[in-house]
Amino acid sequence: MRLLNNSSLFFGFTLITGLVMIAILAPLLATHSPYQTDVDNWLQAPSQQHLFGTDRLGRDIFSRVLYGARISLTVGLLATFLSVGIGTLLGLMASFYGGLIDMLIMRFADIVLVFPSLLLVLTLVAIFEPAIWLVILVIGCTGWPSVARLVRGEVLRLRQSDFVASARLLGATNRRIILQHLLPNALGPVLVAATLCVPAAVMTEAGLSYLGLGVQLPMPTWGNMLRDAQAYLRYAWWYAFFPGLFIFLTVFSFHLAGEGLRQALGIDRSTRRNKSA
Amino acid sequence: MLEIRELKVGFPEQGEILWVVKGSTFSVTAGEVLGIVGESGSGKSMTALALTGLLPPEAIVQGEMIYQQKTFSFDKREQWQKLRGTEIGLVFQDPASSLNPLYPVGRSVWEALRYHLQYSEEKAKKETEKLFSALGILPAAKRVRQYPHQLSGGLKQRVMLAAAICCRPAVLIADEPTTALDVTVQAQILKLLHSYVELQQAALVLISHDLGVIAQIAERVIVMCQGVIVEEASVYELYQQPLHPYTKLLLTSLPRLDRAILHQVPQASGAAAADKACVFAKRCQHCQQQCLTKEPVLKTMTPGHLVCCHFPLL
Amino acid sequence: MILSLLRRFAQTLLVLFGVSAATFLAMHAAPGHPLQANPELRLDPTAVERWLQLRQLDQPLLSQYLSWLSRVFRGDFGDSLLYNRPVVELIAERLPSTLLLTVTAFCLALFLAIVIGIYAATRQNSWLDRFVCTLSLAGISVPNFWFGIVLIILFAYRFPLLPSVGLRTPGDGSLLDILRHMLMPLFVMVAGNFAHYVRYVRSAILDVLNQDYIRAVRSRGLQEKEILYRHVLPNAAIPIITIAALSLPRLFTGAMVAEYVFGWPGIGRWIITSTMARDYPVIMTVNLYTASLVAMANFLADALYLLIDPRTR
Repeated sequence: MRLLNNSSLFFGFTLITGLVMIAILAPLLATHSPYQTDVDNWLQAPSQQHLFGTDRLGRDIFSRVLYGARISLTVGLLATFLSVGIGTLLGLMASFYGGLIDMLIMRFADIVLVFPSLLLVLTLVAIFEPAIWLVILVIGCTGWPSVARLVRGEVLRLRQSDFVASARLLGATNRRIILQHLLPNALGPVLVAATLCVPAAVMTEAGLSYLGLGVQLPMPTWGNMLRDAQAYLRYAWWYAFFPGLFIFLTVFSFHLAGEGLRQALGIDRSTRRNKSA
Repeated sequence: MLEIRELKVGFPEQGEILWVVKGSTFSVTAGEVLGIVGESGSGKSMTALALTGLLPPEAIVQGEMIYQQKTFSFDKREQWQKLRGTEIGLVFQDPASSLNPLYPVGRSVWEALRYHLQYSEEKAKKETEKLFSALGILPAAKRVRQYPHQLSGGLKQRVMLAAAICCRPAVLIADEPTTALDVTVQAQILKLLHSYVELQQAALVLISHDLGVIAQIAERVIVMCQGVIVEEASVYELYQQPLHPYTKLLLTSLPRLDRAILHQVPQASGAAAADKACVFAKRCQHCQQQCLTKEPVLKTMTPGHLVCCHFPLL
Repeated sequence: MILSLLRRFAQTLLVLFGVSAATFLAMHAAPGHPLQANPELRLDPTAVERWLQLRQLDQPLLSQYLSWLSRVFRGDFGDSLLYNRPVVELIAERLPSTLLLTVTAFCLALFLAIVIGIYAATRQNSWLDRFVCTLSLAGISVPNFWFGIVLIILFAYRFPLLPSVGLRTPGDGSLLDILRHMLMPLFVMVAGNFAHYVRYVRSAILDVLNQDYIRAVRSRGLQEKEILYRHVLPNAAIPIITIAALSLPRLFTGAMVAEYVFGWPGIGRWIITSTMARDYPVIMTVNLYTASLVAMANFLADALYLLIDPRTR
């Protein structure tokens, strides 16, 4: 089978599985409590006792990194569900109704797309109080335009294909055509887009938390651990190194898997501009 | 003038080499039109690409080509760049996608003229216009400056032809040059090809799946089946008295007014026959035990008529 | 075709208008006001009221927006609530250092991506090609702030070769000094953007290399180099321009983060602090400014299209 031959998909998927296991089994794998402070042993270098060393309050970085996986992955997945959900819905609506509704939706998508997302997120976070649900909501609400464009483009393309014409000839209703013929065929590209949405969300969450606008301490996330470490770079390299490494691994594994999926499903990366969008 | 010896083309497939051309030997002389026919997958397009050194990089090519007393080995593909354009010209199947969409169509001609013959820009453009009007791309002065999307398929094929012959190559290879065109335009293109051969005393290798096209201008025909040359004869003999069962089937499958039923050529089956079998054995009506165990060789039956069959239809 | 360019331009203006309205409404519809951004400050209610009144922040939303819009059309972007100085002045102070970093990074990254992308694409599936692909995948996966931190740990602390923050050493404004300060933030930005671009360049070139017309050009005996420069690159330029224009939002975000990590005295860092302090005029102006830059780049890309591709004329 082609899916198994694809090494980047395999590696990516293995890494993702590993990270998910870490997140689920964090309480079992952790050697210390992620919140337990031990001020006498602050900024300890990595050792048998503390695999990744300790932070400024003597908390075990290894355990905090493990727990951080829970938050990063949760945020990443929930935000992706939100973006893909909104994107698919709006994309379908735009392509189904066409005309004014199509125009409005796609212009709106343009606005969101054209705008540096961090700036938008910053603005929104400044308006409300930083909180984890807000981070999810904000990332979800800025990630949808690419999915909407994709779904719309795919549906419009498929709609002109012969098999849809023959379905129509057989008397299928619009609803049936969209649900039975178009959506399943657009599923591949959407799946790839979703896989690539996760790393973007994980990265944004980490970035926000690093800037102090995301998930707040003491709840450990990789991003706010980095922020915490900022003042101690000179003395404790491990403090910043390990949380960042895990951000990288997570993002990398999803990119690998997404790239592999794209190859396996034979979807090419379209670099050409969508003329009608 | 052009001689091909033991040409083999293969592609690596899961650790093995899948041969799509299995050792072809043939030649063309100056002023001659050689037709190559065969169904899709018979290896005729691969032959055309091999002759111009344009096979994809992963392809494995063996054999040699003798051109004007010089021997070129097919596995040294970089030698072909010097031959292309000036010695060997190639006309493609699909004119619609064979012209660079960003440039005026005339550029494909004057670029080659400037590159190969060191013409000045002015002279090259003037020459292009002349060639365009000779090939009926009218009005030439306007056409040279138009872009591919502004030309019809027939005109584009004429442009492709102009680009292929502008440096007067002695060998012209045309791979399905009329397949993508209307029937009315087909005849015009064939006529242009033929007049080039006559005027320049060039050799033309015309590749087509269409026996009708071949019959119109070819003098000699090679029939290919699954990478093997199964028969070679003059057009007249081949149509009058095909010796290979495959050729016969191809001929009877042609639609004719005096027959109501079309004969079908059985599809090539996916499963490869045993190594030592005739390539056509599995589909042959006259297949016998020997055909499955022993590979036939190309042998001369009458002067100029060769067949690769244990039991030719005499 | 000029007409469609104009139409796109009009649409762009519309988008800009939408952006400004959306940010304005969202910001002002939210409960609270800038003085509450810092809850530790205990303020006299009448003083707060006077402060709001002075800045017309107590007016109804619509009239606030309209008055803001009319002032913008006259070129007045208002005063920063935090600094009590015109926003435009504050931007002008910070813009040069941001542009220095961003423009250099953009040009370098794009240039490298084109050179290496061509190299990889023309040797598809060679070890070098695989290396470039893996590297770029890793490159887009590295969080740029962490990458910056790792560089600081390595080159500022472990091996003290480079300064870790700022644009120049106080009292030293020489070009070499600025270059030394710029090196790490520049590297972070170039690496991230390069990784992003090189994938697109490579696939754009590969896409063109597989076209029939390239094989046709080859059949006329032109040299590979000639074919690459005269035929492949112009065709590949179309998607590359698109991707470069669409990547500008990314570039800005990257610059903001890089400035934050390296204490670069540019717009990015200031935006972050101003946003957190709810400095309305600053947020509005910066949003508008960024959106217009991005929109302009998109417009420019469209115009370049027209120039390159005869089919759009």
